[in-house]
Amino acid sequence: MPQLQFDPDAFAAAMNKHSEFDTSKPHGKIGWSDKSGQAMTYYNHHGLDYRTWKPDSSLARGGMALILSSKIDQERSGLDDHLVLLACFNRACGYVTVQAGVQRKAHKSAGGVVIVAQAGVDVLKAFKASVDAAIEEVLGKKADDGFEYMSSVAAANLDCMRQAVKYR
Amino acid sequence: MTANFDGYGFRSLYPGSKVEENGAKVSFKSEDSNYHVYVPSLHGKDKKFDSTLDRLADGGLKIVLAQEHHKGGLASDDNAFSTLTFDGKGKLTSTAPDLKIAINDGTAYHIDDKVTKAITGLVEIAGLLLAEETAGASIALAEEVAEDIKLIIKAFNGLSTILHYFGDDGGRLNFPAVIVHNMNKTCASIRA
Repeated sequence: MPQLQFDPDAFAAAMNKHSEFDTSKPHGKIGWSDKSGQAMTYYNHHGLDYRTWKPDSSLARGGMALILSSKIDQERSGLDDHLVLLACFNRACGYVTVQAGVQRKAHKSAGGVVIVAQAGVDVLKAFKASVDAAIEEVLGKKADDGFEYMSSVAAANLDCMRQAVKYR
Repeated sequence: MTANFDGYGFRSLYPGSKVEENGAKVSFKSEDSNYHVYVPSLHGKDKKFDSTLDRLADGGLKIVLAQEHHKGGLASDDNAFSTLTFDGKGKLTSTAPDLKIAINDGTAYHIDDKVTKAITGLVEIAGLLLAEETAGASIALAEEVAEDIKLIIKAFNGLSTILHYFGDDGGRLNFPAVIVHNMNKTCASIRA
């Protein structure tokens, strides 16, 4: 019987190919080399560095869906900014729902709206918009110190995670 | 119709974990932190901190899932209680208000529907689960799983709004995700 699975190495491989990230020298290849193999660190094209934790997964009843969660840290001097995300996939390895919450240096947080992958919904675009709105809610303004890139980074992560969901 | 909870099946959903206290407690790692989940049983009420299982008059079940983010040393653990009720057919009937989380043994935060933002399109979930590749999967199962997912996404959304209470502690920030996976695994261990 085929089963829904998540492949962390396929996730890392997709991250390396994604245009959002800068894998040129001196940053180099993205892999599970941080936090004893539990995380990967990488840079975007603005020279900002991030960490994604290896996703947790669980199967819904009867293996009908796979739920994935992960956390993204934007490293700051002092307290970091964080995003936690949850995504549900069906056996066609497509999105069912995606959502995220953001936290600003441990002071403020907001939950974005849940995106349901109904016909006609561009999931990544809607997800990015929901993260932007959550960040704006937290800051009371559009971010201008690098936090504004978090939504693109998170959407790219989500895109790469989806490519690593397999039904086999 | 009578629903039952499969404790063996539940424990098997935590590969790489340690089973402690005669099978009553599962110790597992996520990211670089340690968590515990207590296996629901009829004897849960005998102990101070444990998951409980009650049989309902309609053949259903009420489960209160006790969970900890274990910090080690002298630090108090964070704990969370998720209540899940199922009818005699094993279908989830509880709603998001039944989730309670306490940080550092302090204030308990309740998640209620008021903090969950308008979630549109929930009726579509069963349909989205019945993708092309799901030949043979029943509509009834899809509807059952859709209920589980609705609870999970509401709980996570509610928790997302209170993340700042969790400080900058990674293991604490990851706790909401751990909680909803625990809830999903509980649902997946119901037999009817």
